[in-house]
Amino acid sequence: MKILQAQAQVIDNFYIAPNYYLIKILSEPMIYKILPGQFINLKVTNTLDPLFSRPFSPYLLHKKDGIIEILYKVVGKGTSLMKNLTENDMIRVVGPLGNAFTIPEGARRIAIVGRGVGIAPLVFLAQYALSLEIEVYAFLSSGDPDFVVGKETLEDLGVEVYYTTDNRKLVTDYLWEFLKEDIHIDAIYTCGSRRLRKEVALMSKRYNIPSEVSLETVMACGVGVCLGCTVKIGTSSNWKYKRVCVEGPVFSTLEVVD
Amino acid sequence: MRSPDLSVEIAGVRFPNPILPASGTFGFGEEFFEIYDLNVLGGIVTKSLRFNYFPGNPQPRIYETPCGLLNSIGIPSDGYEYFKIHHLPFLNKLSIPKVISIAGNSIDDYVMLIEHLNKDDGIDVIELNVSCPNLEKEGKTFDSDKEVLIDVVRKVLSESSYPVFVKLSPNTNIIDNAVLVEELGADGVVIANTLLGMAIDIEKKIPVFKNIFAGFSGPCVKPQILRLVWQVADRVNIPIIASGGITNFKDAIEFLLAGATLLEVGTANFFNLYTMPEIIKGIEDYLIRNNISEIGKIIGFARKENIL
Repeated sequence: MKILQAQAQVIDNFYIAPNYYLIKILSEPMIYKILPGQFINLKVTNTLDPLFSRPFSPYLLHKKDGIIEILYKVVGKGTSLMKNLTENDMIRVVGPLGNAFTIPEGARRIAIVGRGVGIAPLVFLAQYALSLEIEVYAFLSSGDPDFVVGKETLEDLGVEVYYTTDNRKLVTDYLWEFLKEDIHIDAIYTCGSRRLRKEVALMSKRYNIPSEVSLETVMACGVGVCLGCTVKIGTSSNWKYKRVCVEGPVFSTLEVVD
Repeated sequence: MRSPDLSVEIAGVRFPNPILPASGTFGFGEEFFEIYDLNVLGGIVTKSLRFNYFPGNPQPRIYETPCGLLNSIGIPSDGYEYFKIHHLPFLNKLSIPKVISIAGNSIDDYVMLIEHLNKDDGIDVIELNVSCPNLEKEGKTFDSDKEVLIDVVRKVLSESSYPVFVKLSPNTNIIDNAVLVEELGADGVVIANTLLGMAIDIEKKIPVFKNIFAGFSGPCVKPQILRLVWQVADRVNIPIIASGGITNFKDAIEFLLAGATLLEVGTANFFNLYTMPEIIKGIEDYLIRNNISEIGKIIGFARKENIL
């Protein structure tokens, strides 16, 4: 039995910026085996509307206290109800689900490239990489000039952060400069923007650096049986549908077919 | 009181309890095997198998509604050879009855599949999904045309060395179709596949799904499917396998009282992974509470003839 369904206790749940909230939950030890890239499903009410759990990646993991922090954006029915959860509420959690980011053997420095709430899983990756004494550079994009997801947290963790809140600019321009200047990067990870993913794929090709993307899709079951979350993986002439919840959510940026 | 007997028998196959997954909500079992021991179930019904590889529909494939789900998955399948190598050995490790759901684009597809499955070990029942599009008839479902339905059911029944359940669509005249498949000799009738629904994206001002209509399932359809089970039970004597919105043991008991012998749980597996084990426990507790020694005693009990 590799997947657990259990109850989780809400420790805290608060507003951090317009539409953005952070929830802290406490559950059973098996859930804390979760690795960066993997996700958990949260059933935020015990009613049948909304019917399904919602998938979330941890933002930060505190193994010692058993607490998972999830940074989320209110976008629909599930997250609108989720923001009303308060301390000691019990919710259902399922996990760990999906695959994890792969960090190349002997990596010394990685880059994370994300936009909006898609930055959340990358912050967890940064926390994990730093614990392995891998240096992390972050390139963050936000549509909100007053709030960049993860910026302060990453800076507190000691990550060098580059960001833009100007939609006409691509934050990957900073990373291109690094690569042109021959600054060594072992792997690049991205989430939250198709445009950024395509830029990262270009970097991968040009500089022969492995890169991965965590894909976000609507899901029903989260465990691989409903086949609702499939994406085309392979090449434009030879692809197969793969499940984001099982074969993903992490894929090489070079194998995602649009 | 000792534990009540939850087992039921259909066409010589003994199901240890009446709770099975509905086709397409449980894969071939491997995923849920990571979550609980599948041998607690009454049996397993696989994702519909096609003879040839088929990718299924493009995105979007699912859409949540209040208490329900619209899906347009399109019955993707890795095909028979893949099934035989990758799924059948796993299924053979289970001690519960194995129901293989089959789908096709043409009647020949079904026949070819049956011919191959006949030679395999460890299969107990065939569930014939006739609610998929027949590409030889402009994509109309096999059960939307009486002559086509007769043809496919007759051919599959004559070929199959296993008992056959026919899974019917509620978007046709399901009661007449149930009578028809009984006359043709089916061993059971599954009531029902998904209803048809749709959704429209109000920003793009177009239907959400490329095929426009989508299968509609979940707790919200239960009253409608319960009514159909009741009506079909009035007209046929073969066992009814009920499938439609079963979410908890109370739903399960209602369907049994209405006349169903086996119950398939579908959408509810998605939002509570332990739905089926919880329902089995709930049925057992209900029978104990009501001092009923075996489940067969409540099948069809709520029907008019029982009411004094």
